[in-house]
Amino acid sequence: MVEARGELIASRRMGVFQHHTIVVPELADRARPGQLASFAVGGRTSALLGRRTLPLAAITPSGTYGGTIEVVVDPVRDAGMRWLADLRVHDEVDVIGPLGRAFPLPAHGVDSMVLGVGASAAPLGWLSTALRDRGCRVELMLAGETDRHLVGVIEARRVIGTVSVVTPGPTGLLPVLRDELQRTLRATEISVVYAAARAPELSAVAEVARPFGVTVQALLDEAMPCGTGLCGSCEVPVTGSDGISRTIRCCTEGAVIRGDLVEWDRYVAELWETVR
Amino acid sequence: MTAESVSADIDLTVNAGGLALQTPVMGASGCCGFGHELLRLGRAGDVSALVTPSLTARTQSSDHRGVLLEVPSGLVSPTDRPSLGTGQLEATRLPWDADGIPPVIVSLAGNLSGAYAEAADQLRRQSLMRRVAGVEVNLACGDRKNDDRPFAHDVFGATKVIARVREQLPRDLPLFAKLSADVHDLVEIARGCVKSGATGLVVSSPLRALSIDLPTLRPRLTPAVTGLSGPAILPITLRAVWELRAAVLSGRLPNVAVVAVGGIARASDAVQALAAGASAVQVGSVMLHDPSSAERVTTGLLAECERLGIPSVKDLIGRAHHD
Repeated sequence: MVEARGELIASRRMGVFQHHTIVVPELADRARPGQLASFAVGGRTSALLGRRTLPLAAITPSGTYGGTIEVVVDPVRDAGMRWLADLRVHDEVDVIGPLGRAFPLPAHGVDSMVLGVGASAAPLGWLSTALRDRGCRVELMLAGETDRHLVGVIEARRVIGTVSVVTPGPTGLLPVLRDELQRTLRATEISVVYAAARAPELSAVAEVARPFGVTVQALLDEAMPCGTGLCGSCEVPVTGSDGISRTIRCCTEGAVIRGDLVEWDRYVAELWETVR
Repeated sequence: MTAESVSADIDLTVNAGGLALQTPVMGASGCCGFGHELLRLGRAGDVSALVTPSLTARTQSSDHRGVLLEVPSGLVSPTDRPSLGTGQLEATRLPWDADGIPPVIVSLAGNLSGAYAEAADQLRRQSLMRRVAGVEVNLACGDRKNDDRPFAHDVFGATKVIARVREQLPRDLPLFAKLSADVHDLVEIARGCVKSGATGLVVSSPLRALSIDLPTLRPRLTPAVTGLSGPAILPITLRAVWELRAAVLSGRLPNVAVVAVGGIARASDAVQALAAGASAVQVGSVMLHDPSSAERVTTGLLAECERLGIPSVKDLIGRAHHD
């Protein structure tokens, strides 16, 4: 884990999101797909105390400018994300990373599915390449509120060949996502699903995958206000292999967590808990 | 004489409530983890003492996750966050024996005075107790026997908790009472705690606050256990420190060390807190934004001592009360 000051060297629109490339050589040398970077937002006199912790979309360990990292920012999520999205080329930002647990890659080729929703899907192109390099057959499914919320479809088609896209039906995104995932799992021999999304979507993925006996490796793209484990406010309730319920910190012990271990109902309810 | 040679000559050591500190900059409870986190960041040496997240008699999940809500220059969070039981310190393999870990101050919490005493009793029996340099009693918890009113808001409740914790701990172990500035008579409550055995006072714990969820128009967190921390409360922290120091000077309060917590984010904040009467400061919420904050505060304090031409940071303590 390194603390560094990174310089933004490229920024482009990616549908409704903003894609940033930031020079952080110390971080780019050691990150793996599924790991995170945490950004201080608001500048030197910021009134925003929390950091914004995002999955790394890609790294280039030795680019023209030195090692770079890439992230995809959803500017409508909150004021901090808006600040991050509005950074201009040559602006500097405090970065800590790489954080957390990466997607565990299989030792040899297996049939796998890679599924992402919105900006959370940012690391999946990188992950798909790593899986393909290990001889895995990859089915890629990208979902979003509109076609402008789909991340990396064109790039993914270059790597994977075929990519299925899910957008909302009359009852919203989740029912369509469930149906598409169920249909794919029925029609294929997929043994592992790598998913990156917010908690409600990941909960649905874990539920659909369970009867098929498919392992879900879920990257939880939820608020992690420090990214370093100091605040303990990104705790996720899990049931350990010993059957005992406990919590783990998403930023340091996640953000990739096995889907069958997470107590999804409790977690999702607590995320938006209000007092009754 | 170069700036470096002047810095080397400046004495940053302080004594806070019987605790000898290398610098006046401590890490606040709930914002600096248990030690693993700062070690991983290479920042464990930035604080002169590490106050742990609050421990309870038994591990408890709480009704709430430790959610943090961001507000301008502050954080709103529940004060009854999930906690580790003092009886489980061994099992969790805390890194308190690791190289680079500063003195550890264990924060204790409870919802009955007996629960605090039980937590202290179990702590005393742990082998890791050898690494515990002091105990901070978090009095922001609701008293189940007093309609969940925080112990820190009631002189009888606060006094009883401190007395019962003191009974369980070695007499020479520094004991800090963490008080709230959000009370009618802070000095009265502080006096009760000192008489019951507190060797130091820490002000202020998060101030009672509220956040409303916009779609549902319901409180986002239980109002009784919601607190505001961060730079937004610095002026209130300073006022509380000033009030306690003034009470010591006027004889209303026995001579006791005060530690400032709540909004300390920059060296200038720490200088103000020391001048108001604090012997040390705790850096909290700002560590989440920037884990190098404690180091920056310490470096800035050194620079401020140089600028003022004073040889020891102790000379800053209470300066605002001098004519």
